[in-house]
Amino acid sequence: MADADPGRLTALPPVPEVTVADAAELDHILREADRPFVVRGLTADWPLVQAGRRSGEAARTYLLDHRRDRPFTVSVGVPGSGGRLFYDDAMAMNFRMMEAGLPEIFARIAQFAGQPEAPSIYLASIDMHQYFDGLHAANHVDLGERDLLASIWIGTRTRIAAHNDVPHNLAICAVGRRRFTLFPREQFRNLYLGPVDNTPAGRAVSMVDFHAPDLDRHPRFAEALASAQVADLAAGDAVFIPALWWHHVEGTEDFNVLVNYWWRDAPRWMGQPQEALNHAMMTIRDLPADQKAHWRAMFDHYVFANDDSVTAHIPEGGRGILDPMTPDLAGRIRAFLLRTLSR
Amino acid sequence: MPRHEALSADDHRDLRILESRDAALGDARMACITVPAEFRAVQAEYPILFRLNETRDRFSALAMFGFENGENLYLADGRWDARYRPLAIDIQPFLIGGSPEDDGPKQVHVDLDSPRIATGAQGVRIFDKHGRPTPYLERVIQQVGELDHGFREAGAFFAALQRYELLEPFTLDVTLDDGSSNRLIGYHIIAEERLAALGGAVLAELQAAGYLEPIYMAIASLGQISGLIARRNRRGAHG
Repeated sequence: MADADPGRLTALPPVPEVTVADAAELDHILREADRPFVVRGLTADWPLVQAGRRSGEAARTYLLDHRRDRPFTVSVGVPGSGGRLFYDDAMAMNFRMMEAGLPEIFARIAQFAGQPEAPSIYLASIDMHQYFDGLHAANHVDLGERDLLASIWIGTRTRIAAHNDVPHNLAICAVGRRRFTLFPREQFRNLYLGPVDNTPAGRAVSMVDFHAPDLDRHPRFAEALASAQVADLAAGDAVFIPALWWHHVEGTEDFNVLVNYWWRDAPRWMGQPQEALNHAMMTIRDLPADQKAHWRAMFDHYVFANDDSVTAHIPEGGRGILDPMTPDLAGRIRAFLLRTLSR
Repeated sequence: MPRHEALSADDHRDLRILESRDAALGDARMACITVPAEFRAVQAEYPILFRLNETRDRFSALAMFGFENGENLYLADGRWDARYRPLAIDIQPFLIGGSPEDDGPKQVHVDLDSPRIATGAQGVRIFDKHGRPTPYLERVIQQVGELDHGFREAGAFFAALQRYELLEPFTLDVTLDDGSSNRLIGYHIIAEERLAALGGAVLAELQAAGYLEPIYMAIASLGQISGLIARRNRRGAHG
């Protein structure tokens, strides 16, 4: 893909590589990791990887053999978009979502192979257990006790704008090639994030076109690039993306398959921080500045810089939701919010 | 700690159980757990709603008796006004012994702290003087077995509902005749539009697994919500 690659993107430093001997070592490294790393050949022995090495067709046959007989949600791009699944000029999506059977989708992918102008076809974030039977069992990384969401991403040449996800992420290139361009969390200011609600796939994305960055419109993107790293993955290679790190993802062959695992440090019942942020946009953002300052101080006191002074003066047993969070307390807060929000 | 003991003719030969239905006997509750295997019977009397557990990772089904904690609108004058009582209610003070994950037949346990345990000469015996189970206990043993079986089937049932995204959040606002408003919140019901859009293959899978009947029974049960509201209005009018 040398055609549109600007020099500054190809010159980015690679994500550091590590070698792991076994599941225990991988577990240990993941526990300690606070930045991305690549493991070459981690899943080279997967049947899916082996099939893909024979051909894209062999990989598709393997996947079809394990599919559940149900409609799959597929994104179909506009022809000539270069695989970039993004906004159009009117901030609508430049791709359509539809439902179809996997054999029909794969027939279309096979038909488009070798045609660079063909519409991109992308099955994003497909649950490995709910849409396939036995695929996970035969092709997975042992991640110990982690409560995983295992997903598979299947498609033609695609380019997904830089975004971040809340969980930690171990992503495996199973078939084809994948390029990840990664940025530390704080780089969000330099990535020119688009809308929070109208998004291609649920998370706000960078408005910067990585294949043709416009530094007049997005001058701070140069700063983001100063801390960017690239992971070029072949089939069987893995990259670890820590929670909330920004990533731009490209599938660069005619047929690419990614398998990824998401897991959170926080239990599910704690809910989603993004919901708190959206709620604060509604309730706080447009208040007078002096009141906003007060709420900022309150957030610091109760949420961000909380220490013993928050509760030390309240008798134990009377602290309510100021006590350390439990499923029971979370349930009480959820019930309170549900009731107040639906008033 | 509740005193739960494995039931035996030796230890519990003279135990008597109070059969009447009363708040003092633990019946003042707004819901009880139910299992897909009894949805057909439950839906003829009660709304069935679904709920996530505290840790937000597992659904269960509830037969609803009221709109707030402690409110059982089927309970009046020492009786339970319905032709069918959910298994989880009817087996009390007995329970399923062991862990829900265990395979094989379970022992019947008894909660000796239950107010249903008779202290005097009232109540129904569970063993006769020879230590043989009475018809009452035989009925309970069968119900405990049904409930245990139902629980074990329920995991795969809810996994299928989640796989095909067939549960959706549900909030019910009710304004009663006296002008007061009540709200049921935090529950789920069957997502009827998604169910209607399912293709033949998925429907066949749900049918083969025996899930289609309880799914439609749960939908039908929502017709009982108006009955629940009527009960509440009647109660308001009389008391």
